[in-house]
Amino acid sequence: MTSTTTSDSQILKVENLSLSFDLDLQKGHTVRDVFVNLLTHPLQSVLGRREVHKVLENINFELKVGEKAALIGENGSGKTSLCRCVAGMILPQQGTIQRKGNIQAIFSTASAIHFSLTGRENAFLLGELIFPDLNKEELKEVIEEALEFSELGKFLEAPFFTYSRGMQARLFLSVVTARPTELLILDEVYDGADEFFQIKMQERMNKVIEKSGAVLFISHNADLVGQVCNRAIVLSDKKIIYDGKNVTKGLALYKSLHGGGYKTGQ
Amino acid sequence: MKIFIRQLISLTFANMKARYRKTLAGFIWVILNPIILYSVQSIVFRKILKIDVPDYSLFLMGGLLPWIFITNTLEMSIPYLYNSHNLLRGFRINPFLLILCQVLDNFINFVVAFLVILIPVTIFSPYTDTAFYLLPLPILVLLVGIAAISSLASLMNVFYRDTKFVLTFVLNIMYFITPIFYPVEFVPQEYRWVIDLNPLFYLIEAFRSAVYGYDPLFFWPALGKAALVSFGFALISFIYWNRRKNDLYYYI
Repeated sequence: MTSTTTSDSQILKVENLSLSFDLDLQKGHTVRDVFVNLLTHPLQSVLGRREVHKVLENINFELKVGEKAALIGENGSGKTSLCRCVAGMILPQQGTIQRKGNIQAIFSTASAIHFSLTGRENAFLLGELIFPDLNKEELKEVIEEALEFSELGKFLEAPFFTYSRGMQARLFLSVVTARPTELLILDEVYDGADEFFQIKMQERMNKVIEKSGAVLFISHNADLVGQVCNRAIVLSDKKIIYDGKNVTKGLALYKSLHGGGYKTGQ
Repeated sequence: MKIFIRQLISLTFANMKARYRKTLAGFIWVILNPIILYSVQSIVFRKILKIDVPDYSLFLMGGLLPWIFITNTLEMSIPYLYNSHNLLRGFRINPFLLILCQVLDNFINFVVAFLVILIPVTIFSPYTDTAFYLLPLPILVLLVGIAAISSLASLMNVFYRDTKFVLTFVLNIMYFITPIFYPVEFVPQEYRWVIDLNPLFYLIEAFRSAVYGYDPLFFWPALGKAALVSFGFALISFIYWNRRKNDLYYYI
């Protein structure tokens, strides 16, 4: 491994990262299938080679303070998997990830911890899960601020299952961005929120990372990417094919992959 | 670790709140459910089938209550991981934490139901060969074993979606071939191997031997076997989780 010097401004360094998933599909989707296979093809089922699905191959990149990098790529190109590796949810088979400081990641806003609990209760539970280092008073302060920011008002006392998608997005985006963070990962989470809230969120996002942070941003909305990001990383076929400050160029390259079809002005 | 425990406690309480908040009846029902099941079985076997076991109520309690805890926990926790796919996909949350809070939720119900039954049974029962003070040991072993089985089966259910159906079916059969409502001595010698191969039997037997017919020469070996079973399941579960934890995010 080459010696790496981490400068002060570096938030994240991903080196030689490769990731694959085990596919059992050919062996059946159910316990009953597995059982039948064991009886009919005993040797094959036990010794048969596992099929592996490669998702990412030899990924290298760094993130520095103040960078707002857009990860661009078609569905299934590994954007989310890469972000999950960075967030520590998935351990890649190969490669190293050096992180500095605190990471907050949100991949979906349509997920309550308990749908029958109120928005406020869910926000506090989520806070406890994603900010484990805070004590009770600190957590209360952080979450109360987030709840106010979400502007959900009296809806906060309503059960979560009554929330619209936009309200869910408001609540969770507010909580996740409630503290200054070194790295913020937002994976297609703007979709439900309305325009006013998106603008408000962008300001907040800047504030969250302004001290010493960076953002990894996934969106299929080209306009939004162009507005928010100052760097583009294009993924295609498990690899990075473009990485640079020219977001427009990155978007154009991505569009050229399929000869258009990128959603604009949604 | 400290953080993990704190999160576990909050999640478990939130879990219980979500389940019972609508009515107090919800909680009473959860407690009453095993008690009614127990009372009916106790009456049927004592009065109708006239089973020849001294002090049958106490005997049945030692077997049936842990069994109800086992089946309730498994039935609740096995689909839980898959059903929480939105949550797991959304944030960085330890999936194991979600399983454990299901187990703990059921465990609290089990303890409360046990105490509710224990009090009248001990008052009206002349039986004295009990060692209630030793109960925390087999209960702890049982808890670890069930947590291990639950987490193992719950992860399997993500990859093989019929795990929960197969397991419910297996548990229904196991109810009859595990000495719960009959003592193991009733089983003819040539069928004993079925019992010997049944891991759940060991977990239950350690618990029962502290409640009914306590004999230190029997209790401690039984506890040792139960601990071995729990440890075995914990090891298998640990290995399986280590191997397949990544794939979880691919399949949900």
